[in-house]
Amino acid sequence: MRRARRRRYPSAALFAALLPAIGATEGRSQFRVETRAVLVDVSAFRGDEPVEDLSPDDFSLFAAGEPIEFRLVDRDSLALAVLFAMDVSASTAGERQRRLAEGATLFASSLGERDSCAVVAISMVARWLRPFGPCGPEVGRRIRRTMAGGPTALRDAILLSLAVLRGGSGRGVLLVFTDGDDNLSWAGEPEVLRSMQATESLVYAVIAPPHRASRSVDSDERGRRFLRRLSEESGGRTVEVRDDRDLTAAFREILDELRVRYVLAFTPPPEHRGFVPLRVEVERRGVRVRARSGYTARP
Amino acid sequence: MPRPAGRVRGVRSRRAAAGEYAEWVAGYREGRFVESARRASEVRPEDAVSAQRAFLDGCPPPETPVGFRQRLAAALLHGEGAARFRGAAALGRLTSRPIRSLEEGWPPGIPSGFREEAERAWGRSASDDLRRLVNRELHLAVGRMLLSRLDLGGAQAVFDAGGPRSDPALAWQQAALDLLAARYLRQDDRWKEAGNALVQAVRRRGWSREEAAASDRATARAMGTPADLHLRTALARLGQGDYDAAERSVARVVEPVPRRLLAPLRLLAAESAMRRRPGEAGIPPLREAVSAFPTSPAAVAALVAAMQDRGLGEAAAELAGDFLSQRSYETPWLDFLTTWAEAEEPGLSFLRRLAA
Repeated sequence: MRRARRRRYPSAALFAALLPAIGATEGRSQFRVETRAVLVDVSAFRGDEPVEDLSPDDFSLFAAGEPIEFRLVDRDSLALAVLFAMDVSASTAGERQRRLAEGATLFASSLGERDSCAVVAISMVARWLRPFGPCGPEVGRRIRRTMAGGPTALRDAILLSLAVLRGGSGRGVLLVFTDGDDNLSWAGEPEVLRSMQATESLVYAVIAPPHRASRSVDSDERGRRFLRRLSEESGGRTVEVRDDRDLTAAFREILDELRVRYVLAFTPPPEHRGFVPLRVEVERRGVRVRARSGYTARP
Repeated sequence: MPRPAGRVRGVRSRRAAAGEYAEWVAGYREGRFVESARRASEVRPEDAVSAQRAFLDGCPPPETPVGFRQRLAAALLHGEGAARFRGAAALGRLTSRPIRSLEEGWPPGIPSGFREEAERAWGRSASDDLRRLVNRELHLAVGRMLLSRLDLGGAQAVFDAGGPRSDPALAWQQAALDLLAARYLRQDDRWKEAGNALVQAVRRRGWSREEAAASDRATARAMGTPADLHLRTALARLGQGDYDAAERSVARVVEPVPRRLLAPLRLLAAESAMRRRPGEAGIPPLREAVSAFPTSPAAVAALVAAMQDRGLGEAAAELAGDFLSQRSYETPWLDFLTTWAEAEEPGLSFLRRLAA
């Protein structure tokens, strides 16, 4: 198989012209391009441990099966726009909601000054608990104060959240909390998957055990299966907890992963149309990677 | 807007004391509906069955007004208790036995106003047997109470227990529920029969469109509205993947339609168009739906998805952001799917008055 030509990203200006928050790992020359950059977040692991010492030469990136030139972006130069989409339907009320607020507080308080956070409540309809603003303990406070109740329109809420993430500034991260139940959404799974691909957001999900009052175990399982697929195809993942007491640890796990991820960037070739599959490989023995499954080429 | 589903409150079972059953029935007939139903629901089902049997044995004959009302009140007591406290599983024979013990036809002594009201609701021929009418009203009322809480499983069990699908109204409501379950719970096996069952039920309907239009029962009105049938048929065909048929069903709808059908019409027109011709075909009807119902979650989600598919990400983001800021909502699509089920419909109040 042909290898992609790798090089260190030569200039911050390339992305500065397109995505102002992105910085390069190194380089001096500057140039401009007229097309947008596509970002590919990559998590690398050996066993369950993150691998933090990879260099650009270790990566290969393939688009539509063909090797493609890319740059490694300094992740710390990317401000994060984190949207917490939290299921506050009837299945979350009580102790679970309190622990959820704790986990979200930990997460939001650990983010940087340039990062921004928002909270969307998911129940029968999705609504802002807090639009984008500084991260911090306020995120958890908003979740704790919300009245939980009612059925869940999970996919609709994810669809709307992904849409607003696209309009936000910074690298979009959608963090979903749910038990997987969805009994009210207009949007089907294909619509939400396409939305994720179009908005290029990174999706993580924390999935709690089904509520004991849940009337549809099948529906819950289907919802969980879908979230696993959605998050994995975005380059993120789901963390499933067996006990509500593990919620804070789940949030910490995701936070740790975000901090050690790699970000590859490439300029999409003009011949690409529609959904283009992506694949990332690493030439290190025993190292596996996770990255988004593709991107949507825009005319 | 349907009420959110809540958990059925936990009920501690206890033995029924002798004579209590008659007190509950009397309490119900005197207007203490919820309290009496709650007390009856606290008793173990097997004890309630034996207490009810003793009560029915001691009732005056069913052809007398008092005998009729006591039996009806006993059935309502358990129907309402199941809807509010115990769920559909507790309904069973506790409601069916007192209804079965009623005579066919209208017993003498029932004020004529009730019969006239029933005829306005369901038409003359569908109201000529009070026992059948009571059975339908009770199961529709209880099932739709559960439906208003989005307890789909419970509602389905009640409609099933309403008897064989020989009663068009029950059959229609059950089929409408099948569509809802297929759509939201992804129970694909329910698509196939539901669309045809709706058509069959409307054909077997024993009353005219004019009578249906004058009814205060949401189910009767829906059954008498051709546009409603075309839209539900379109929904069923979409679920079956027959997009041509879906588009034809939507095209059969004659405008203007009642406001309650406007959002379903636009949403289904958009969905069937987009399934057949991916592209911008669905966006205009969705814009109309959002323009008419800017706080409808379904309409906004559909338009946001369509815009994103067309690369209109900025506009989709703005629309989604505006929607998330809303503090009140209309749910015309969900209301259509639940056939405008409300916790307490005219059917229930009719039965309560009949039993009083």
